[in-house]
Amino acid sequence: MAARRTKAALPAPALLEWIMGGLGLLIVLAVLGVIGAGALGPRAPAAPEARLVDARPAAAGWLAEVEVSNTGDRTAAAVRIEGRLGADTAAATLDYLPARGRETVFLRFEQDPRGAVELRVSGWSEP
Amino acid sequence: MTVSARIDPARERAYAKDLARAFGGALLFSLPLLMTMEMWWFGFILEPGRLAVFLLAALPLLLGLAFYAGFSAEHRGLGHALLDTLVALAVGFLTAAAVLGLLGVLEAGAPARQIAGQLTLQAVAGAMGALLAGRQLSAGRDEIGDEAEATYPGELFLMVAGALFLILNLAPTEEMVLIAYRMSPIHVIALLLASIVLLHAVVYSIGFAGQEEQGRPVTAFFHYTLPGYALVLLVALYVLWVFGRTDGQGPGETLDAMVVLAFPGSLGAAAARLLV
Repeated sequence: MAARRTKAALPAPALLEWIMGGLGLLIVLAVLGVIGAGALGPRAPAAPEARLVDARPAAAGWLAEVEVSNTGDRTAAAVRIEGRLGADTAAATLDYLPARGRETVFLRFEQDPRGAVELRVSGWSEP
Repeated sequence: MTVSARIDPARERAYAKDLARAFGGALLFSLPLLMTMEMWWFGFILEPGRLAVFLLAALPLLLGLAFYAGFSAEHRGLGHALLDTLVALAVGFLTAAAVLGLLGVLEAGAPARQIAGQLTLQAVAGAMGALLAGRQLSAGRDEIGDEAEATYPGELFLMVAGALFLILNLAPTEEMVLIAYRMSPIHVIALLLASIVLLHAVVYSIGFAGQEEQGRPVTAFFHYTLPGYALVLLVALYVLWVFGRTDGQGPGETLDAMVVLAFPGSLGAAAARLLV
């Protein structure tokens, strides 16, 4: 299999091939850039925070829509979110809260939670 | 190589056909991983450094596969293998993005890092599938690829590629570590021996390019089976490390998990000759 003979016998790659190859190069460089920035930069520990987005009456009591966001650069697992409204408490758990990501959980209370609810993220584990 | 000034419609059409087959291969080979939830989670759980290593290490591997089994019917040595590698990665990333989008795994508001991580893991498996597609999905076109000319290091490389492919498909699940926990030392040794016997049986019965090994099982054992199994174990350790399965594990447990993964890995290494 002489390389010279092969090269002479075969036509140049199709234009479509160059386009797809260029696209592949662009995607790989972009992905490496995004991942590399995360790998080389400082990595703050996971920092989940909960805040009330909305509340609406439901069949039994009130539903509080809570947005949990992670401002850290590490993912948190088994994130437990607790809400307290007077003597009334509610809790929910998130499997994962990605680094720089946000998730929504719902907590159920007897009364309208707006203004009075105390929300806190009580704990999480490293994945 | 230069882009020719005029576009040949027949050549473009033929290449579009190759490309469609590459997408088919990527879909076929990466679908099990695309529908595994641990793979979605790995997108944000894995250390970014390890993810970058995984993508960078995949490049020479894909180049080697492109060289031995590229999906385009026309084969032009290393330069063309490089172009094939980039096209395969484009196919892998596009397939992963399309399927994960279709399945509702990709979230619109997710951070770029998470999406990049999720796509990278899948795209490498998809790119391997795209490169193997030329071999697997083109019935009767046996002129594709150079694997018949593979040298001894080339044969070992193909074994590594085959092992990585199967290990990658199994390693994401919890079961691999669970199996390792459950096994007694006797089980581990038995599985290790079974893997080597299996690898040797397939390697020897299919036969490698170095046909002089045929009829000399002991020579083949020391030339291919033993170094092959050692490489499979290293591939298993590498994948466990990338997926963070070695963190916080004692050396004993890691070794057990390596042997567990090396079982499908051996099968992949042995079958590399069938697939590639």
